Amino acid sequence: MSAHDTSPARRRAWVAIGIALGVLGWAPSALACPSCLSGDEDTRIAYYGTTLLLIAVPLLFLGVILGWLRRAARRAETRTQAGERSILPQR
Amino acid sequence: MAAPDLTAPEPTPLVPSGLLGIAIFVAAEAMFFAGLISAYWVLRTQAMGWPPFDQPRLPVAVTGVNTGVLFLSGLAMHRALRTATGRRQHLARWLIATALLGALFLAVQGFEWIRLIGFGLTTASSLYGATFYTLVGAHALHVVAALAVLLWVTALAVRRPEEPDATALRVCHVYWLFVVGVWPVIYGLVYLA
Repeated sequence: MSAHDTSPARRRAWVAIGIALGVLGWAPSALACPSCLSGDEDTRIAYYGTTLLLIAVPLLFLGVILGWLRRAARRAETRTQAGERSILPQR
Repeated sequence: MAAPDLTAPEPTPLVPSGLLGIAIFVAAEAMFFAGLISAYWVLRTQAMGWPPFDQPRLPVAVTGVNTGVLFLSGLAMHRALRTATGRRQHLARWLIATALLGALFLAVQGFEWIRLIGFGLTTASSLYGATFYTLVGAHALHVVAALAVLLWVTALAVRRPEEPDATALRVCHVYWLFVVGVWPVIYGLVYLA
């Protein structure tokens, strides 16, 4: 399809884009989170507090699980090394 | 192609699959409660009055004592796990003590709920009631699930006291401690704050 192509499919696509842009321009803006624009101090604290909570909880659990697996790996490695040492000939 | 060495010992997993599974499950559950707590917190700060003047006040003292009962069940569960590596004949006893304390917690919660519903606090009475029953009810459902798992582990321990299923016991221990650990956060936020 060239840049000057005026096929019906291309024209329909341009009309659809035009309608979509028109609707977007006509529609009033919607606020996703009513807490964001609240002037109330308690609401803002709650908004920031819950944001931090929802960021911190998964990171905390990820850290705990990874730390636990790392410790288990180290313990297994130590055990393996101890086993290898025990079969070495004693001097 | 060389034939596989069938005499080689099977590699042992770094951590038991059951334990890894419960760790991931508890992480997901923690996110679930974090979401509920966040919703409760934001809705509460946006309300004109909390609790609304026409709604009953929550039983702070009775639930405080009940929190102690749940704490005791956590201690009993911890003791059960320690017993599993020592005097195994006491394992079932500690597990039964944990289950009884957990059941007592649920019974008191249920009794208080019946009273609150009688005083007019229902899920439909206000946003206060809806968030209260959602948050506290979600926790109660988790205690019921933990109790079911605990009864199954207890039955195993009673049937084979000399060979307890260590992974099942540790899975139950982790889940029970999670259920006990999340309650003070909910109690502090819903009843005390």
